[in-house]
Amino acid sequence: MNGAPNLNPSSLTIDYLRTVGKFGPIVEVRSGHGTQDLPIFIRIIDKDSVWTWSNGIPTLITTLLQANIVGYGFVLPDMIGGNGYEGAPDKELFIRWLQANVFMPSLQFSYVPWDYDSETIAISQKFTKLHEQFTEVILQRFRLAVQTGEPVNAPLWWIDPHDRVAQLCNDRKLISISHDIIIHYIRMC
Amino acid sequence: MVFGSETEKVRICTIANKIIMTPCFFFFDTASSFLVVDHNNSTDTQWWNSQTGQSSHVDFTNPDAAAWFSSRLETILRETGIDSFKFDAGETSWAPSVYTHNIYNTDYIECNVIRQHYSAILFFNRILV
Repeated sequence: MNGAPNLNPSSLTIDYLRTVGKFGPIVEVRSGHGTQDLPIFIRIIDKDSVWTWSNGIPTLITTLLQANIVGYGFVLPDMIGGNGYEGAPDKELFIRWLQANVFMPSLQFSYVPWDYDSETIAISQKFTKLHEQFTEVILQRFRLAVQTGEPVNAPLWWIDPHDRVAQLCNDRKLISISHDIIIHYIRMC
Repeated sequence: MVFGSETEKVRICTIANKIIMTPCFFFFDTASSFLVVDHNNSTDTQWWNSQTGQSSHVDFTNPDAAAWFSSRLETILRETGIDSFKFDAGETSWAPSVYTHNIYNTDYIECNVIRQHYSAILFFNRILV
């Protein structure tokens, strides 16, 4: 291997990402090292189809916020409902996962609404449409991220870093995507 | 060949990664000079979708290897009509841990791996305390 001594062995990751990052705007990767400037999606690593903090649905939000705070705003959340390694998500978990995804940059279906029932299909259409309606807002946040490095999806305290109440808000409950929109998750686990 | 992707306006991506499977002799022969080599002059490594000795890792720190890899991907796009890729992996942990480096000798790399391991333990220990 080659590469600068102080980047050893991360050069392998960096050079991989800078090679594949040239393959256009819908490329997705799942690793990074000082590659915040690449105009491609970075995917949240596989999540488990559970309600708990053990890599379940609440951690979709904490991972999203962490990625944003270290400068990776073009986040592709993992598949809706999680990966189902221990069994497929049930109906409510699938729907809640979709709802949690609505104001994140992209929706990724692998489990699909018609795996469940007509109510799931109707709810999924509603929230997919809502995501579509906010496309321009998300793109505005993307442009801002490119200009200033600001998060696309920020923790609530980003609006007022000196607000102690906001700092203490459990991040599974509240995040924001802009100064105009605050997202409140009322049931995550 | 992928059909319908243009007329239906559905973009089709396929997963791709930086592992070359050794049983895939058609590519492995071509790739053999572009791989991460360990202290035993072996390219063997293992990732989540292989057994020991079944895989090897493209050395992207070699510009010729990166160019070869890109050209293979461009061929896939051109010949199949696929629109883009989902690039898997990227973590250094899938490479041989005691690899050869153009500056460091393998003794140093081995020490470095151990040092990083203990650094990680110390890091977590501080958090736990």
